[in-house]
Amino acid sequence: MADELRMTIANRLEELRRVEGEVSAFLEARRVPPAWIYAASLALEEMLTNIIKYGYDDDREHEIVLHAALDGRELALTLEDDGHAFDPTALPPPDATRRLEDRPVGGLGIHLTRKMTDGMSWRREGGRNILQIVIRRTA
Amino acid sequence: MEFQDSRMGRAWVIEVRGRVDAAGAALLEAHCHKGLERGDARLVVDLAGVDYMASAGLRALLSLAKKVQPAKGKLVISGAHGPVKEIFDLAGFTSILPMCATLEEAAGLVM
Repeated sequence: MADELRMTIANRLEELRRVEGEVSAFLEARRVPPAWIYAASLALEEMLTNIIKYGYDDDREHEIVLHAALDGRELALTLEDDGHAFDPTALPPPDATRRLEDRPVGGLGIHLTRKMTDGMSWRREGGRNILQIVIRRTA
Repeated sequence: MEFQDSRMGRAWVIEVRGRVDAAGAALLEAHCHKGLERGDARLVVDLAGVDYMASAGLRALLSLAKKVQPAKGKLVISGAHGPVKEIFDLAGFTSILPMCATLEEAAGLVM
């Protein structure tokens, strides 16, 4: 049985809690390890925040589609949006050696998402960003 | 997410509980800001009861740490554990924000 969840999300930050609630409930019901749920929550919060805050060049309502697919060893999260092209996998890692005063604030969410998950891929297709994040069972 | 204030000597201790998501981080930052305005610049942020935090929480704490410096204050993180501690490590924050395992240690460090 394919274990899947599909959600349509409006480009409003208030949607983040609904997404988190539904995704956590989906994963908890399938007895997914807590570390996966943390990683999935973090990845979705970070990536959706970026899309909603910086992805659009107008003030209109847009739809973001989330698809989560779970099998025994792997959770794949796919986000599709019609914002301008943005490839989070192309961002250079932050310079952790810089002084507190000199740290820029951007890019941290993408960095954490990369580190907490096991794979990230991006493509542009039909005017849409398609971002896939994979979390795998390591043990 | 909820928080509760207390004092340990001259330290202002903010005990945070629950999930520090983006909305929670904004509330926490605003709450600490009020304290800074009344001159409370020796802060211990107790994360022992926090089971989730992402970049918004880290950014809020970094922004507060920058603000306490000119007031000759200090911000110390206490009790972060598990994946919450891990994101401090991954972000490289453990080298720039003092982190303590216990409240007593943290309160000692902000004096």
